This record gives sequence, structure tokens and C-alpha cells, in this order.
Amino acid sequence: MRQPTFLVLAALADGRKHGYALIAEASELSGGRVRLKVGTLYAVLDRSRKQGLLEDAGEETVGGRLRRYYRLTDEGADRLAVEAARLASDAANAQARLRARNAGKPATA
Amino acid sequence: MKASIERRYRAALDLYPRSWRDANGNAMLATLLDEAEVEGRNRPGLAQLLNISVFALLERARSAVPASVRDRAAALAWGMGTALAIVMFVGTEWAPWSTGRPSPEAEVTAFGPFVSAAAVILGLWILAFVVALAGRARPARWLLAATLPASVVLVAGEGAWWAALRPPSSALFFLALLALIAMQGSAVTSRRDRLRMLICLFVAGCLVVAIVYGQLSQSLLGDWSRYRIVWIEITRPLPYAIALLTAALVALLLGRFAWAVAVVIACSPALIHVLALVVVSGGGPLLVGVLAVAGSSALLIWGLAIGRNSRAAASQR
Repeated sequence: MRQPTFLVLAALADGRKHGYALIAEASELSGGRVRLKVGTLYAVLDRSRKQGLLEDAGEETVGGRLRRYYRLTDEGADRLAVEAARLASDAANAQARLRARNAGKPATA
Repeated sequence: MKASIERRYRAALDLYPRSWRDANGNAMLATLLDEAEVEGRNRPGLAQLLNISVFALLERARSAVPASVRDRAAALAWGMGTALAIVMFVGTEWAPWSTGRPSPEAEVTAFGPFVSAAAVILGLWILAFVVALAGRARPARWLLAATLPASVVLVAGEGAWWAALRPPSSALFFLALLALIAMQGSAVTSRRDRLRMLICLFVAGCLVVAIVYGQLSQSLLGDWSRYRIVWIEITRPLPYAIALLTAALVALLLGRFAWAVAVVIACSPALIHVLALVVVSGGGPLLVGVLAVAGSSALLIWGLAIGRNSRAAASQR
């Protein structure tokens, strides 16, 4: 799963959100490192919807602008959980290797 | 100023296909305006416009060739490429099964147990097919992608011992085009996808073997001196163009439009080959005729299929 898709699904994990809220949430989730462009966001939304990972969750017009909301499906939540576990496992393995590397180094005064 | 930025964003969104705009345009415009408002911008950023342009053009490409067509064309290309790879790997590359000697004037050293380094490319094709059948679409694509630089190296290595008996450049180009088409397919996820790929392989295998036996009645296996001739014969475009366009017309008559367009796409390497021959040779009347008939048939099939898709989409609205 690519990072933009992961971030969008993660942003939807705690409830429905509209387009700009997803961009802001993805930025927050990545510690400000990832700022999704709008074209990228809608490509991710379109593809993920076709794959059944998310669905439309209503629309409202605010200040003359159409806000469409999206929510995670059960399948999307499962895929997100699997991907999150995989990333956590990879990170834990990397941390363990780094600890082993540092343990093997002589202490410096 | 607000109207101006909205107008500019709408103009950028016009790059998307109409159907996509109808479904997502207003929601996307609202997101763009929300973002511009938060960032205090009065005009669209260049990076944002570039991003929209790239995804809009990708979406246009996707809608011109729907996934159902892409997957069928990819299955056909997988079948054709793998059939060629298997037949040539066994028939000409595996040196112990090649009898006779290289031409006496040529100082040729084989590439290990193979006749040339083309064995690497053919091996990658076969491995990629097996990996794709196992449902691992991404590694399969990478393996196919690896055949492209490998082909370039093989062509550039003209004269080197490992490339002395390599297939002609036209054959490598033919395989490379098939690889590019095969890479456009989506993941092979269901038993039906696998069955489709295997049927395509079987049909393409029969076609390739029939062409080889038809063109080279004296020998299929062995005789190093025939090596390059076999490759030239096996990638001669006319039989593919005729067989595939016949299949496309049958698919069209049976109303299987996605298959009809897919067959046209899958036979495009053969048509490009014909075009190259016409350009190089100055164009014999037969080649020009074949190209004209094949090209107009392809356009007719494409047009009918797109027209049918549009009518189907309109009736759903």
C-alpha cells in the first residue's frame, strides 16, 4: 500500500471526513512531512472507493461549496490494520538491529 | 479575485474526462478552494496545477482504455510474450539441444549453457509469467520491466561474445512492446484471471509453433546457423496481424467489444513492426495494403467499441 493511500485511510479511521479535512489530517499524521496535492488525493479516493476500501458518506453545501464526505468500510479498516501491523513490525525490526549495532560499539568518553 | 481563482481551477479541471468531472469535479473544486483559502492564496499554485494536469491526463488515458480492456490486452500480451519466450528458450537458446556448429568463419562462444545472453530476457519472461499466475502482480511487473534494460544492453553489446548470436533487434523490440502492454494489466487476483492468462498462453503458443513450423518446415530445433532466421520468422508481423485482426473481427461480430479492442491493442506490436518495415523499405504495395487494411480495421473496431461504451454509459445515467 502506498503512503498516500495509507495516510488517507488512517485519516478516516476515526470518522467521516471531507476533502480538505483529509489533506490536513494526512499532514498531521505524517508530522507535516506529507502534504497531499488535491489531484493525488482524489486519485487515491477514486481508486480506494473502487477497491471497496472507502465509501461516500453524504454531502453538504457550505458557503456555496460542495463538501463530499468519505468513510472507511470494514474492508478498508481491515486492510489498514494489516498495513499498520506490517509497518510496526518493520520499524521494530529496524530498531532492534540499531540497538544491536549500538551495543556492539565501544563506549566513548 | 475569488471568482478568478475559481475560474482558473475550473479550467484546470476541464482536463479531466467529462464523466470524471461530473462525478468528482464539484467536490474537488471545493477542496481546492478550501485549501487556497486556508493558505491565503489568490491564484492557483504551479505545483497544484501540474499535479492536477498529470492526474487528469492519467484519468483520460484510463477512460480511453478501460480496465476491462487493459486487462484483456495484458493477458493476450502475457500469453504471446511467454509463448515466444518458451518456444525460443527451448528451441534456440538451450545450447545442448542445438545441433550443428556456428558458421565456420564466426568465432562464437556460447553464453554458459545458452546460445546468447538473450536467454536472460526469455528466462525473465517465463519467470514473470509464473509469478503473475501466483497473483504477485507487482514483482511480475518488475521482472518484465527488467527485460527492457536487458534488451537495450543486448542490442548495445553487438559484437560481444555474449551477444554474437543474439536475436535481431526487431525481435527484441517486438518482445519489449509486448512487455509494455502486459505491464498495463491489473493484479491477477481470481481463478478466472489465471484461467484467462493460461488460455491466452495456450492459444498464443499454438500460433507461435504453427508459424515456426509453417515457415521453417525443415527444422525447428537445432542448427545454430538457423538461429537468427528462426527469430526473424517468428516475429514476422504479417501472421500476427492477420490472426489477431481476424480474432478481433470475430469478437466484434460476437459482440465481445472489450475483447475486440484488447486484441487490437495486443496486435499493435505487429502493426508497428509493419509500419517500421514500410518506412525502412520505402513501402512495397503489399505492406502498404496490409497496413491500410489493418489500421482502418483497428480504427473501425475502436470507434464502434467506444461508441457502444458511450451509449451504455448514457443509458445508465
